[in-house]
Amino acid sequence: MNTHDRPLIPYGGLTGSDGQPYHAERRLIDAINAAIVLERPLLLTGEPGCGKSDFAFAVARSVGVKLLESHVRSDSRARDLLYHYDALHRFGDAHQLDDAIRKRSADATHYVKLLPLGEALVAPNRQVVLIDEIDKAPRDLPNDLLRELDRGDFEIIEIPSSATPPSERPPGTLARIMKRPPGASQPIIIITSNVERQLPDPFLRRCMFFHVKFPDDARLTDILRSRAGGIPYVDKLVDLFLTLRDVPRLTKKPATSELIDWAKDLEARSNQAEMAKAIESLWASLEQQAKADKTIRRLPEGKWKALPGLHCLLKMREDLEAVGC
Amino acid sequence: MTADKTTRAFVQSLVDQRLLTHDLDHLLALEHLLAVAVAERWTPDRLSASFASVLATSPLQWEKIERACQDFVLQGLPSGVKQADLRIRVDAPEPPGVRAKLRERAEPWIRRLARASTATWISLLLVGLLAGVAGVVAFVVYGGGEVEELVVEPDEPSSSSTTAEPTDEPDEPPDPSAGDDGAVLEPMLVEGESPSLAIRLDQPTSLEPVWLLVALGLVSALLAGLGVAWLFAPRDYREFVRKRDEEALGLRAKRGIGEIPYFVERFAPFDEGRMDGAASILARIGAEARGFELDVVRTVQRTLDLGLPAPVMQATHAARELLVLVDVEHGGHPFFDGVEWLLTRWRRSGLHFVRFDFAHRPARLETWPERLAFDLDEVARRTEGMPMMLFSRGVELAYEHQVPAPWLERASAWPLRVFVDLDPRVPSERNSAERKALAEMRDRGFLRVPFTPDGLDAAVRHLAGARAGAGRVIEEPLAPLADINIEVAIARWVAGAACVPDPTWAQMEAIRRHFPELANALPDPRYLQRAIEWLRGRLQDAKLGHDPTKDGKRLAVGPLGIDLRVEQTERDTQLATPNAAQFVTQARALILHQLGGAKPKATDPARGMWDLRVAYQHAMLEPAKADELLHIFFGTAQEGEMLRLADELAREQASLHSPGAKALMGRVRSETEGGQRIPTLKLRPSLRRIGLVSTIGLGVGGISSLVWLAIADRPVAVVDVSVPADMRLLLPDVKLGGECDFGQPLAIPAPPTGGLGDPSTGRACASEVALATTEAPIRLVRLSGGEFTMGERSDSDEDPHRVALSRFAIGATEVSVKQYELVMGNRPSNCNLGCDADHPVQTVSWFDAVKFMNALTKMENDRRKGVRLTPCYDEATWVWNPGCTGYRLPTEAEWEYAARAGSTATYSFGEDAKEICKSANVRSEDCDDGFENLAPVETLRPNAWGLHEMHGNVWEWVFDGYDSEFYSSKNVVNPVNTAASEYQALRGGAFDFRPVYSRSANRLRYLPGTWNRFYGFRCARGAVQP
Repeated sequence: MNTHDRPLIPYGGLTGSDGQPYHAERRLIDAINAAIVLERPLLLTGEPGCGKSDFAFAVARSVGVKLLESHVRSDSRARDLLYHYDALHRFGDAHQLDDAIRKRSADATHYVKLLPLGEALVAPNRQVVLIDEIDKAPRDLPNDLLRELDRGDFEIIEIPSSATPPSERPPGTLARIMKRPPGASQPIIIITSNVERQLPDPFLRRCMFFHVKFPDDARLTDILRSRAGGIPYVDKLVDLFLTLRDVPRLTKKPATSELIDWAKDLEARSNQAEMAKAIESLWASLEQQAKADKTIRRLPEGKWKALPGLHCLLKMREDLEAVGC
Repeated sequence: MTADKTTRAFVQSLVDQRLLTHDLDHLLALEHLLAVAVAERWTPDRLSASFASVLATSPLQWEKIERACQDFVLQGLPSGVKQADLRIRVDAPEPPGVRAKLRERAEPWIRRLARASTATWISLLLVGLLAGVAGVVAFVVYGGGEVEELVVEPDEPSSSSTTAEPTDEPDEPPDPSAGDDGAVLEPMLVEGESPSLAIRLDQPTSLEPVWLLVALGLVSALLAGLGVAWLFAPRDYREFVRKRDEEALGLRAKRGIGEIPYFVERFAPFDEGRMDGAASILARIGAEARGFELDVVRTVQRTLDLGLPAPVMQATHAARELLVLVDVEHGGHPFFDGVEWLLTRWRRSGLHFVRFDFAHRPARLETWPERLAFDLDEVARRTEGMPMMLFSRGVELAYEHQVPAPWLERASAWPLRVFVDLDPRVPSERNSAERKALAEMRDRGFLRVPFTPDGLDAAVRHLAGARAGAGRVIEEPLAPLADINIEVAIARWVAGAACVPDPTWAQMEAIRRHFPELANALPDPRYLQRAIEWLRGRLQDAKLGHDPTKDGKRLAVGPLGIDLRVEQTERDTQLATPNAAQFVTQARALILHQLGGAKPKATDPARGMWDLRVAYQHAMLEPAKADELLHIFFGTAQEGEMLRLADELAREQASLHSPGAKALMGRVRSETEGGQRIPTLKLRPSLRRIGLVSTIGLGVGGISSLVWLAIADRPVAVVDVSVPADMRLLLPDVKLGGECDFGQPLAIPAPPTGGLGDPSTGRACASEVALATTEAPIRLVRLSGGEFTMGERSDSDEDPHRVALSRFAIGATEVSVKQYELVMGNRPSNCNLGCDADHPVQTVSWFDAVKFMNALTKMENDRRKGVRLTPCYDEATWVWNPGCTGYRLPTEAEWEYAARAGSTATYSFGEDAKEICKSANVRSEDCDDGFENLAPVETLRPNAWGLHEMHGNVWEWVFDGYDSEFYSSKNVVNPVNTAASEYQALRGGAFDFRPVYSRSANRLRYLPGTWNRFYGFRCARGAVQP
């Protein structure tokens, strides 16, 4: 356990991808630090828009490297995250008239390109990798990835095994067996998933798991204050926003980023006094209704229409209909 | 309880709650985590969250496990581990030792105590004392008064009691727990107690001495406690802090931080807005890249056209990061600051780029800022396709041993490549080899742009994908040196820069910007190139021939600087320029301003250098005060540098024919050539502390004894107000004068002129400490040298004669056992006579003594930075190397001069041998010196020059061979008998010899190879040249 070269993600002072402060809950930081200790991938689940991917950016910034992003597609195989082998191009080159190009095509390494995850696994310095939306991938992919993530090395089957033992090759050159250079540290791997149930059990067991909750009102208020500080009625916005999220039958609940857009939209408007008045009055009626209902918070029927900038929050027709527009 | 049991129990409890199934992998992971958690003192919250993250696979499970873990950690742990302890350790059930516990508890107090300033301490102590004294006095006044009353009139009823007394008294018997005093008194009260009033009246009488004792005891305990706390706790802590700071400083010094104590204002070389604009264009750069998808239509078309399978991939457009390669040459070059500024600006404005640094050719690259080394192949593979900018002066870029450099082969990895030429000269101005290199770069597809706003604009447009013609830049050539205005301005610029001994490039730029006349004539930072060229020419003319940019980080003006300044002044005078000769003065003012902005802390290793620089600039501005300003650096780590600067100063002043320059010059020369450098050291902090402690100790002792005497009219134990041993250092009988006169040439003094009856000349100056043995410092007193009458008419070998001596330093004490051990590693002393650490070392031969001197010199060299002392003795023959600067034995003449300390009498204190016991440890029938055997060094009264035990204690080896006829030789200037001799001389008598042997002039001889329990020695250092 050499603690000195293990990065420690601090509880505060993180910066997200857009250069704005990233407010992470302490347990999430505990989880990522434990994942770094155990050199395991961290699986983040949570609703879309609760800041899972942004957290990876924040970690990369804190570690001081550029985030390597692996985007998973519905037809990705595990190898597609590690490297890309350009068979077609090689095939084309092999049939070129130019001697030099033909000769070049004999060497498979010219047609192999490491992809972010592969690059990170063999990098000499610690990297941060984001494997985004792994639930989109075919069911086999996570299990196939396990071996590579566990061992930190992988095979490029297109490259014939060479006579030179790996120890004599300069680090970083392409070879059949790609190994982490000695002394290098395991990359920090952050995997996000919108739904946790679809992932295979062995994979879940190997990963550290953390569910990123949708931010509560206090954190949302903090976030808004730091993004759209010009608005005096931030807490009321948050209250309305959370109430809107609780409206039953919404197909797509508005996410944090939509809240921010909304606040920015309101902030940018010229008739500030009017806006404030509209929000205040809506909020007042919300309070009034809450007193009557006692248990649930909701706006009276048809009141949502009066919310300025509602289109920033709800984007689908059926959702707009659901709130009575 | 071990870690694995804990985790197993925990996992088992989870399995029991059906939260989990058994999994060995989990168990191992948890054990690992727990080990780290224990080592790093994680909070229970953090541990729980980490455990839950390992074990859970769903949000609900996560929360349950976290709660279970918290419960387990907080309550479920077996005995011995508490909630609070988990933060500390889980695997150490045994309670920490009592000492450790106490220490832990006391630590914050110690810290607090240590942080309190000395003033706070003294005031606290005084307040405590005053309170104590006031309390005791008040008690005695009231209580004592009553005692008398009661004794005189025992029949008087209790009504005569004072009001103070009864309030205390009646309370006590019924309430045994009324406080500490009550509890203590209780048993004593019980003896004489009775419910009757009459007996109660007696109580004060029986109580009175007890009360007094208790009060005194309390006050004494308070004082003792405070004294002990002051003595130990803060001192230990401060010592610890000091050591830690010193280590940190040492580390900083090693790393070379704080090397340049100047605050230099930095200027933007280009228009900031324009560069930000360039950054925003670069940030938007995208690149057409070969995608992974097959372009079916074009593939079919092409295959048909060619008759061969020819796949065409769909082009993708991807945002591209910029690759920046920076040539740092030897770690810096004149135009490197500009590149740093530009890249910092870009980075701050949000442009992402990957930067690699290289030296001369990018075969080996280093990441920035982590400095990880990479091969070009690796970098090319990783950054393939990125737009690339190469910043270099291009000197050795393209050719290696006359053939194109191999790295150029890999350049094709970057389709868009720009070579930003940092060399400000236009290509037509370069020599043929440089032009060839530029052509090679062009052939390899690099777009060459000059390092100007226009050039950078062109580069950015090229990288952003603008087509042909984007890279054309009209380069404005720098005005040639032949232009008289340029040359005059450059001469002035360099003359100004030469006032800084080592101007950095940023300083050059700051000077250019500071003076309007320079900024007008040389409107562009690129004129630095002209300055270098000009200086290069001057250096060649002066046959100095070195490269003024050699070190890469600064302009090496070197010794030519003085000539430049002098020339400048002369030219100004000739041209009758309005600000004739003022320019350099202004430049110095600027430099002093720069220094003022960068004052290092007093503890910073760079501070000495900074002080020296400031003093030097002031000395240059006020030559009359130069001597005073600079010579305080003698003997410090800056001594070497100071001599260099002083030399420079003297030469410049001499060149400018200013008064007093020659004298200064001579002085510096004599200092340099004489090799006599005696350091002035301030009292070490530890000594200061001892002084403070002793003062307070004395104060406490004094006051408490006063209190005791004041309150007690019956005999009480008398407090011994002895002076602590260390205190002696601070109560010297002698006052050391100021500095010895450095103005006298020291190598060889004039022959003596005085008659035999004339008094000695010379005096003692400041003392110095050998740094080699800081644990038991060897203190030397510097003597000015002079002439005196050596010998006495009482013995045949002591023929009086006049002798002149150079100045030298001699040990204030004999070398102690501890000092000898620190240097030589053994304790030869005979313990029957005393072999404690501070006894003088004895049972040493003359050879042991000279070996000691060489070893001490070596240790000192290891400790001292800057100045190297030369060892004094050849290790094979033990011949004295003339002109050595290291430690040595005193010569016989030096010893006697020092022993006499200006006196002409038999002993340094006078003629009367009966007086000797105060100053010497000898075997006297007339008086008692208090020591049966050896006395510890520095015990007895020193002579007028602060030298202890010159008379008595142990015989002291001197360097000279013994020759009874030597005094009659003509050798009267720095005499030393180096002729081969069977015996070596010893001086000063010893504890078991009669006082007559301790006469200042008395001589003894002994075989140098044999030791004897009466023989020791003391150190000397300084400039006799035999």
